[in-house]
Amino acid sequence: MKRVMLVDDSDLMRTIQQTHLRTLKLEVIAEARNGVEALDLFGIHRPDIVTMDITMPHMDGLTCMKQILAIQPTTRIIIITAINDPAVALEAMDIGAYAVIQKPFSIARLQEIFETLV
Amino acid sequence: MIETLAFLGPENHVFWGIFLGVILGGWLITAYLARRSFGLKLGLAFTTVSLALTSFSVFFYQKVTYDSLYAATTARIKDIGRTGLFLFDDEARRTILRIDRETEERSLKRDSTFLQAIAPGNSGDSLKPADLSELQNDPGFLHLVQTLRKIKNATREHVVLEENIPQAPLDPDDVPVIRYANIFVPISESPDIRYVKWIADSDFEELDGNKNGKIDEDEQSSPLGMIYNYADASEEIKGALRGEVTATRNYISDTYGVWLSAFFPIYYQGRVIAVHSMDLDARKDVNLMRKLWFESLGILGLAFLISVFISLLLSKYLTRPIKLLSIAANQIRARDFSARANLNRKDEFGNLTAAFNEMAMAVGQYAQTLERSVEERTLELRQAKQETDRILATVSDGLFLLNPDGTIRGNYSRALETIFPTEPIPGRNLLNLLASRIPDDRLKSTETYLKLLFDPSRPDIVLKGLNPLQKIAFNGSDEIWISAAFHRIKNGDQVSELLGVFSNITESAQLEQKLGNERRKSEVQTTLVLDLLRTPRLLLSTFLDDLNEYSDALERLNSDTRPGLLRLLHTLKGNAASLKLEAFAQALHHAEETITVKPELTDVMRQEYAQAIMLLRELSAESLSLVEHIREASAPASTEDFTVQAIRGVFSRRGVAVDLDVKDFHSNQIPSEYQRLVRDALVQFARNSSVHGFEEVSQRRSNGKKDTMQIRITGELHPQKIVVTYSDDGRGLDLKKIQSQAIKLGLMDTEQAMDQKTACELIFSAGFSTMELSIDAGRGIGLNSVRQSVLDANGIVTVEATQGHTAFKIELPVTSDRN
Repeated sequence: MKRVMLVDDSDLMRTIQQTHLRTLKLEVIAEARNGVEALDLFGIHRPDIVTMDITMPHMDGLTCMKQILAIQPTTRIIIITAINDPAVALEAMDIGAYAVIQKPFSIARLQEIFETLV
Repeated sequence: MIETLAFLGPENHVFWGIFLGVILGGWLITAYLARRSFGLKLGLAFTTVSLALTSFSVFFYQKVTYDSLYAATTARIKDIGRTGLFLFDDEARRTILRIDRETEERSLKRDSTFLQAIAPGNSGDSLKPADLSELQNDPGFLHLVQTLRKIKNATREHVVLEENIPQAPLDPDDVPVIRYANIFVPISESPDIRYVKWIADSDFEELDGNKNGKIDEDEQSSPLGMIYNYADASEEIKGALRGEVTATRNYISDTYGVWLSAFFPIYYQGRVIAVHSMDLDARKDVNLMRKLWFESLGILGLAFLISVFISLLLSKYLTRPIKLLSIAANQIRARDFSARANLNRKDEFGNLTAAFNEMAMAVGQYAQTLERSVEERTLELRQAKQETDRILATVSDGLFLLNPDGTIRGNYSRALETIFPTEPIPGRNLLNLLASRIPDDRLKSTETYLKLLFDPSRPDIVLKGLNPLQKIAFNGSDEIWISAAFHRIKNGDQVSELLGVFSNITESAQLEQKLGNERRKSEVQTTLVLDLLRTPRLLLSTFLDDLNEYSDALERLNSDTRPGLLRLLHTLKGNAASLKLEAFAQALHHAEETITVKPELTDVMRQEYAQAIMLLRELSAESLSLVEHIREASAPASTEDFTVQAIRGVFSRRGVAVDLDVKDFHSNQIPSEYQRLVRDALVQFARNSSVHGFEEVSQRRSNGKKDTMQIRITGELHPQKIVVTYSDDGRGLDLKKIQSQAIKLGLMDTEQAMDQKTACELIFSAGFSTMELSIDAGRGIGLNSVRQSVLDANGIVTVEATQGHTAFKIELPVTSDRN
């Protein structure tokens, strides 16, 4: 079972994701509210998959992603963002994101992305 | 001088030289000719082998002959010697010992200098002439000499015994085979037996044997006590001294002839006391051998010629099939499968050529089959290619294959050329092609997107919806809209290329845009209608007239007019805003914006400005028609035409009461191309009347005029022209005001008198106005623009004005085909 860490400053978003991921039989092992916290928790849990918001306090998602990939390049990072711009998504993928999901997302979209990782 | 004739004997170096030379030479020439024809090489090999064999056998035969001749001769001389030894009785042997002793006693000094002066084959005397003569007359010595002469002469053909045999030949025609016979002893000074001492010799005296009057070299004596250098035969002499009968191993040639020498031991009381030596004249034998030698060489030469001839024939015979096969093989290589090697032989070559011919036939058939199948396959491929080409030529989308390095493959659909018209496509980098057509940020996104597509670790799903070329306008205009899609073509795990589909979606995009525009437009129109309904009619028509009046000026944009236009636009915009005519305010604002941004005027700016003004005109025209519709809807239908209404509008707007006499004017009589001109002119004249001709009622009464201003408009249609007149009984032209304004504008001097005619001219001048700026007048554009329009139509406009009367007259040409 793949282990997932959720990184989002919104409690609501994390709860929604967690609900969805549970139906996909993925184990959520950690949750972080910002990039700094995410890096700490990543060091402890070493999840296989990280879902990440871009705009967060303290450290934004893209910076956090780069640092995680520097520690463990095989980590699959899925950016979940409200920025509805394909150019931003492509840029994020160019610098290492596995996939970009735009908010608001459907469970179908989340599911098809995660299915490629199982 | 002594030389051996070894070359005729067992140590025949010449023979070995020729034998080895033939083999080595043959091998070298064959190697040198390695690139020449096989026949030549084969011939040379044959020649070499046969020559080597011939020379070997010839020389072998010669050697055997030599050996047997030598053996026979040696046996003969040995037999003679052995027999001769019996002629030396004990007395003779004692004489030898005595003579040896006596010569030793009387001998001259024989030191090393003396001995070394004697060369091999030469001699030196060891006795004084007196001693020699005494000893040579000794009866014992002479007896020895006689014995030697007996032995020697016994080897003649015809032997006749004589008591005292002279030194000279008994019969010159029957010379003895043994030429020399003598006895010698070793000397103590030469233990290696190089030098020996003569005891007796059959030729001990000097004798002119051939009677030529002098002693020739071969006639010299071998006297008693002569020391002879016998180094050449010292081994054989040593053998004789050991008691053996020996002979020289080769014929010896010297100045006297060719010899075979033999040496015999002379015993006395069981010990060898001297050596008896004999020289056999071997000239005959040697001549025989020599003849044989030259014959051998002749045979060799002949063998060489014959072997060359035979080997050439043989090699030709052997190489002919090879040549034939080689020619046929070359023809087959040149794809002439009908080639055959014709050789009628029953041997292995015959079999080979037959097999070759069969093979050639089989290869020919095989090649034909192969060619046919290749042709069929080629045809299939060509058809498939043609089908693909047809598809690519007809399909309306731009289809192409994209390499991982971003370049476009050579096979793509023609439609792609309509999307990228001016540029060569094959091998071009797609991003390069796009670079000049799409914005930089899109280009960068496209680059990233393509990179991700070629990355096999990215599933299609994660790339869904990220295509930056989903819908994009090319060249920054709305003229070409493109939708691009990319599909991965996988080769194993790798993405080997992308199938690109570029569709021209301009029509649908434009339609979409048009629909959007229409929607916006209808929204604007709704607003406009509401605005127009809300706006008081008088204010509205004033604004619109104003706008129409200045629209010509608005269109003429250059660096000089810009400040004026800006002011005008700004005023109009202010008016629109104050009337809450939102659509106009925005359109005017837009026009103002386009010419305020930069201080210098660019073509683009001019173009955009022109578009903005056009929009404004459309808006105005639309508003006018809307206003009319609204009027039609809200007021009883008027019987008056629009021109008359517009004229009424001008006066009613300013609240000026007039009596309008238009019974002689029918605007439908005016040719359609002049209707607008005439209407604009009449409206302008009406404005002129309402502003300049207006008098208060009291003033009109005091001037004896009716209370209301009398306006009369006529229109006459002549065969060549139409004449339209407009007259009012207003104030007329104010010469004073016109003059001061003209001076102010620098159009005339102060001294110049102002008359009616000049005044009439001036009021048509550009920028001339005597009024303060107001909506209906003051900018000096109106009359000037009327004159300009009439002149443009090749017409004439004139004005006649007196105090209390102004009359305008327009004459416009009518072309003859009219009516």
